[in-house]
Amino acid sequence: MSRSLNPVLAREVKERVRGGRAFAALTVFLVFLTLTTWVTYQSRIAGIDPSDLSRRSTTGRVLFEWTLVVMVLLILFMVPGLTAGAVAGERERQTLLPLQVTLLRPSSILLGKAYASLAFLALMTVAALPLFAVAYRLGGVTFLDGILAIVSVLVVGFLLAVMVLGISTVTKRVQTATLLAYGFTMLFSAGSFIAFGVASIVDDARGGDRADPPALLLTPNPLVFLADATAGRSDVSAEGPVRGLRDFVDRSAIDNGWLGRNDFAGGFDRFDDDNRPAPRAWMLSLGWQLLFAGLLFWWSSRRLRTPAESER
Amino acid sequence: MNDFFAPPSGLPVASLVMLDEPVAAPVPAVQTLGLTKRYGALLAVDDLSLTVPRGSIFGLIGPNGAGKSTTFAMLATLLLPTSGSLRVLGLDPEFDTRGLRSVMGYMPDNLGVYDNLRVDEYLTFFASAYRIPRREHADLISGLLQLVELEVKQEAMVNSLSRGMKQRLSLARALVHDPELLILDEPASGLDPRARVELRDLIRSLNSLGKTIIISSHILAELEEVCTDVAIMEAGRLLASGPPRTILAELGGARTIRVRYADGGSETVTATDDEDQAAVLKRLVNGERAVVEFVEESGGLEQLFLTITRGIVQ
Repeated sequence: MSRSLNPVLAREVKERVRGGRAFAALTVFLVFLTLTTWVTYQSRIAGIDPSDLSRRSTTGRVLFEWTLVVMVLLILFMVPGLTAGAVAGERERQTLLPLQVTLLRPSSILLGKAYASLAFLALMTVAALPLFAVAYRLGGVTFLDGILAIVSVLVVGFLLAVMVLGISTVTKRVQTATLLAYGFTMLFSAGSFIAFGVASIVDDARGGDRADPPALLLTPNPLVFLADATAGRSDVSAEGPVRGLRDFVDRSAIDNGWLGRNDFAGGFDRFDDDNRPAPRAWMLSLGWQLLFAGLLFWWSSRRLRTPAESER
Repeated sequence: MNDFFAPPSGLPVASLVMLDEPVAAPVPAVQTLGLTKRYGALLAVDDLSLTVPRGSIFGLIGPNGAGKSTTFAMLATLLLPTSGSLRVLGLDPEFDTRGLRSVMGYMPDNLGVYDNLRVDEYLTFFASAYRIPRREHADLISGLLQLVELEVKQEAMVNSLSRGMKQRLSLARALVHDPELLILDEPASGLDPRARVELRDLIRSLNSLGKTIIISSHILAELEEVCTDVAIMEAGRLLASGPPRTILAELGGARTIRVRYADGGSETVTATDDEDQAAVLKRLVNGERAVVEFVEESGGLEQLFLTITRGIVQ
């Protein structure tokens, strides 16, 4: 018997394409992204001398970074909405039991759904490529930057989809699963900044003693992964949000240490060949995301396993 | 008949060997011993010992909350029993889960279908989920749709089907891997009378193909028409099991017989068993009044059900 496409993936893709939600999501995604590109372009291009190549490339870089950041924010917003119903929806539609008595393993069911999310993310990314082309045309962005950006967006979106799938196995109602998924995504992304900010305020209030908040607190945030993985070389413009975020994380790591014990260690002295804090923020961020996604995948596979002690 | 009823090549070899091996005594389709399922304080199934003969159409009867669906969920490899033992086609659902799933079809009481798929796509999906090779899908689906009389709807969207058609599609889905055992939980619920008759005929056809069918229904007349054996449950407990007439005879329940005479009069008489019924008939025929009708008013399952159950609802 030949290995064939995961049947859940094939079905999910078919259903998504036929349903109106995916089309609406893609439209909203492209409208927001186009507006971002247009506003950024208009605000930066005015008064630029076309022969000033340096200014042109800075504008290209800033345009690229804003498009990328808004793209990831839109994906962080859309993935929970599009994925939270993956398993909860099967329960709500009462289609889960027939699926569970087939020869598909729970992991195959979940992977099929996760791959379907990845396929949709890939569609969104491909649809957004013409917008990146504008920045590429202006300069300041290499082909490799573009590839790294696409891969980073897909990684962030896919791992978030896997995490949301885990949440989707918890409840029997799509509405509840969606609320939980948004709560989790907020905690996972904005939560890291909030925790770091609160810890910094507390530290400052205590007179900046030896309780520096660890920079590791920042790294679960998918935006940190994106910023560190796509900011490019140090000699490119630092005017865009991606480079700004990366520099902030680097500075926090050097000042406080990844684990917040910099003072005890006598100063942060672990740098890589590019003179950046080691290990790199994108590695730590990816590690967190893989850990959360792996744990939630394992847990949700267990929840879908049958025969079970109780009806779930 | 369509050749899709040949065992699909996706079946585990072990299961095929086990099923095809000549055995001295046929393994029952289902055998439970002291099967118990408890949800906290609620005892959903209580010490259920049941044997479902192979090749039978077995009706599981009981009021809401009797434990029928929980029992089916345990048979269908979805739920673990709290205690007791369970063998389905000789396999243990807990340890031979995939082997059992490849020879068992399950249709739950809730009718869930993917509305955004076409009828043939819906069945293709489940054929793939049962690892049936892609090259066999077209013939398989065509045969299944013919069997459930939905061939004209092959390319229709599932959400355009009536409830009866969706029910038949669900049945086709449960048959997609040509299972030896079919577990149908309330398959007739919500169907109009015509659809019920069609479903009953379909169940008989499937049984004639050698499939063992376990079915539950609230509509007792429905089961009476079609079942060879029944089990009656209430409050999680098994009250009686076997062929309906045998149970009635064992319970000593009197049969009610309606007699109509040529002079226009009528009366009802009772008989305890076949012998007694024959004696009553002989006495009436030898009597002075000409008998034109002698009909057992078989309450059948309904009478049996009312005789046995006490109306306990959990």
